[in-house]
Amino acid sequence: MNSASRWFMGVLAVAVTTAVSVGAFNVVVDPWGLNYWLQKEGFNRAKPDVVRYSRLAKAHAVVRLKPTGAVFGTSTAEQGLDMAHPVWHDYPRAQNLGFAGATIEEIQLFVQQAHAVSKLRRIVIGLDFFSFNANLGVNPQLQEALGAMRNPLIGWRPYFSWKMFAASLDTLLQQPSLTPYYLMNGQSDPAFMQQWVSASGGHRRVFLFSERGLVKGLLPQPSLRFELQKGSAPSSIDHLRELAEFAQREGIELRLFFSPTHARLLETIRILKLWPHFEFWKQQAVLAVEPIAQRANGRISIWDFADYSAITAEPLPAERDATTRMRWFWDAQHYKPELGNLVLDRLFGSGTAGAFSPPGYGVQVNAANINKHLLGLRGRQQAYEAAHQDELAEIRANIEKALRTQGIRLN
Amino acid sequence: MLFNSYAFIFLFLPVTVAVYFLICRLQHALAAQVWLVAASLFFYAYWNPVYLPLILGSIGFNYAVSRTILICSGDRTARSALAFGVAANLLLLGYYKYTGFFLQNLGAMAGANPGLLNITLPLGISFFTFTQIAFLVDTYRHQASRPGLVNYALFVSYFPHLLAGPILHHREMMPQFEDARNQRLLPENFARGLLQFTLGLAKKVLIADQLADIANAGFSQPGQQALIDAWCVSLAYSLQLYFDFSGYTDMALGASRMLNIRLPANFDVPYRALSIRDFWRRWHITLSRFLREYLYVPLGGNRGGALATARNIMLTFVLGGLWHGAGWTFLAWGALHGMALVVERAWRGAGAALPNWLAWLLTFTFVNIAWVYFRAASLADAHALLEGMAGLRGTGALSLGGREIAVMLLGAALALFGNKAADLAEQCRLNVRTALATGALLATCVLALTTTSPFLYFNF
Repeated sequence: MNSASRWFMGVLAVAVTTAVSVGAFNVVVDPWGLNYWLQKEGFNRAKPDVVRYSRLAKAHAVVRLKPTGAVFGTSTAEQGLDMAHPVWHDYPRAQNLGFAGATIEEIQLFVQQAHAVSKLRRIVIGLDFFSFNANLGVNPQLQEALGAMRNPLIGWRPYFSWKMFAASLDTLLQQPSLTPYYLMNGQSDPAFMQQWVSASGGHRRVFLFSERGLVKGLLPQPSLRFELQKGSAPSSIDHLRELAEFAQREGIELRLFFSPTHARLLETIRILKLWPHFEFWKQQAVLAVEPIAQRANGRISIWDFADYSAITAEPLPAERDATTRMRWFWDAQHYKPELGNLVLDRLFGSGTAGAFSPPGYGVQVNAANINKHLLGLRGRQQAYEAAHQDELAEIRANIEKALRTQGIRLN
Repeated sequence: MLFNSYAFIFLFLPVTVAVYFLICRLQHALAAQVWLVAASLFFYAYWNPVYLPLILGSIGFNYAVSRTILICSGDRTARSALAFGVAANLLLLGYYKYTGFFLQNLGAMAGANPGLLNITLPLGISFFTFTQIAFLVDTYRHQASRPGLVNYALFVSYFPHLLAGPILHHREMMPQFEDARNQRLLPENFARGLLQFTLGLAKKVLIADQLADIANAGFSQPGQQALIDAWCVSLAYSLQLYFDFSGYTDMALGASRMLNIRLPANFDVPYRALSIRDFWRRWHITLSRFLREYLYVPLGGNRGGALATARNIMLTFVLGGLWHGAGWTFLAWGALHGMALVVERAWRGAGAALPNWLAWLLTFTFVNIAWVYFRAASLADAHALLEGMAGLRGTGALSLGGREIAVMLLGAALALFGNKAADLAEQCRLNVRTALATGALLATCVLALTTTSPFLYFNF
């Protein structure tokens, strides 16, 4: 062997050793929650980076656990729907496959790929207004997540990266001070959420934070545009229709629902002058699903919980009150599992969490009743507005503050 | 297929090289060439097989035209065949690259909206069209050899250069493909090829892709950049483009050298240039060579007095700009360089000279400003960023983080003071220390390959 050949072998040996060492370290620490082979309290049980890679983590969960029942949606479904609820008892290893910032297009693609890997029989999907904004686009990580479900070899790729190596180090260094974000079923751990609310200064603070975050993060600046369709691409409603048709074609039981949001979030939408879009979104979604639901003989339905009610108008603690716990909400966008359980009761008529109250909240919507329902919603909105002037002033000031940092004035 | 992908690094390149030398070892030179053609076409079709018939048709057509020119050599038919061949190539390029632009502007002038034409630019079409036009012209001039179909197909489709150059010249390539000495594995070439490939990969992954974040963010909001940020954005792009394109070229040269085929150099530390003429001798050298030999000289070059020379320079650079893309921004970029060369020529003619530091500063500043047109989505966007660079939006504060500043400084230092990757690969001593360093660098790059990041010149 001449010197050039020896040199080449040396290069190869160093490169392979380095890459394999980094990969092995990442597999063991598993900072993005991809394999859960080794879970040790104080070593790697809490994973500070996992939320940023939730698409990937949930894709790996599908491949690893092959659930037959699952929840899909955004972080609202992820934080609010309890996988220990009795509606999942006949669906072993049911998983919460919601992830933060999911758009309806992403949800559609994820559901279809997950079904290809793990024959789904029952799915529940939370629909959020902002996840239908066509200006948001698909997160680049989604392709990697879909690839990991399609081909297990691709699923190994993230381990061989400096990005995950940095996350592994971060995981080890931060370990003693952290609470895990996820339960093993993919649902956000309520203990983590409660800790986060307290550490952030209480519910009112996180409400204000989430309302500002919504303006900054979910509406493209500076025009704050909400659109169901961008250019000639399929609209968000098309993605929903495709999703429902897919479920019907594959014989999957599907429950769709407009996610419960606190009344303050509905008011934020109104102040941002998005209310007509909000009503139009609900109406179009219902009309798109209607013919498919009719063909599915009750196995597909759509419900509305994004409404004003005693639950969604739950009063907030005072600003400096970091200890009082709200019953139904973490912040303006995210509901607690207590409310999620009521939603699941309503969707499946199980009634395990007690009688649903207040009456009239959480109705099944269809082509026949949607317009009347939206008219009623407008009335309830006006009643809320009249009774909560102080809250409204606070919301408006908060939004203006968020916009000011972007150099935008609220008209 | 991208050079900076797992599929290329771990599968395509090793398999292609191994099978090629295995066939060569079995004394099947033609079969080895056929293998390289097949591998190159697979490489081309990997991303989108739709355009495979296009490149095959283009190869077949140009080969047939070249044979016609040879058979009819000396009579008017040869000239007609050449004209037909060149026109057909330009029409093909024009259809895919300029139809949308032409119709849109025609519509705008007529006050109508022709709508969007969905014509996707086939990968590498600008490169393989130019390569073949040069071959036809030289065949007509009796300056080209008479290759067999396989050799010709390999010259056009050879995977290291296919998607983004260098723009090959048949004179320097075809003899190499046929040389029996190149048909056995030479460890020295393989090792130095691997080193140059690794250095190119590092330029792309560790520098260009990091700078891309700064440039992309800035160019997405060109009207919001004040003086400091606007300059950072434009400098980041200038460096990104250099490291991206020269990184690609180093990877191409390195991969090709593993097969004992030497591709021409495309870069010679261009940001050290002391004049615009000097810059074009250092930047995208094979394009400059093509434009000079097949456009500027046939137009008359500098043989017709100052005005005619200025006209020829302007035409060459405007068309060179448009070659990069169908848009007013590319036209403006080409025209700016053309004008700069005309002014520089007049300045030199007057016998005026500048100290080197000032000449470098003026050259680099001009090149950097011209890149703004090259990168911006529209003339309005380019002007918006230039307004920021001119201080019309105030000084502002530096918004880059420590990591971003470090990458920019590293990029600038390497671009201005670093050795060429080709020189490093050539002069490096193949010992334990360099094996360790190369292995570590290769691993570092591979572990940084987390997202697909196409090369900028794939768009052209």
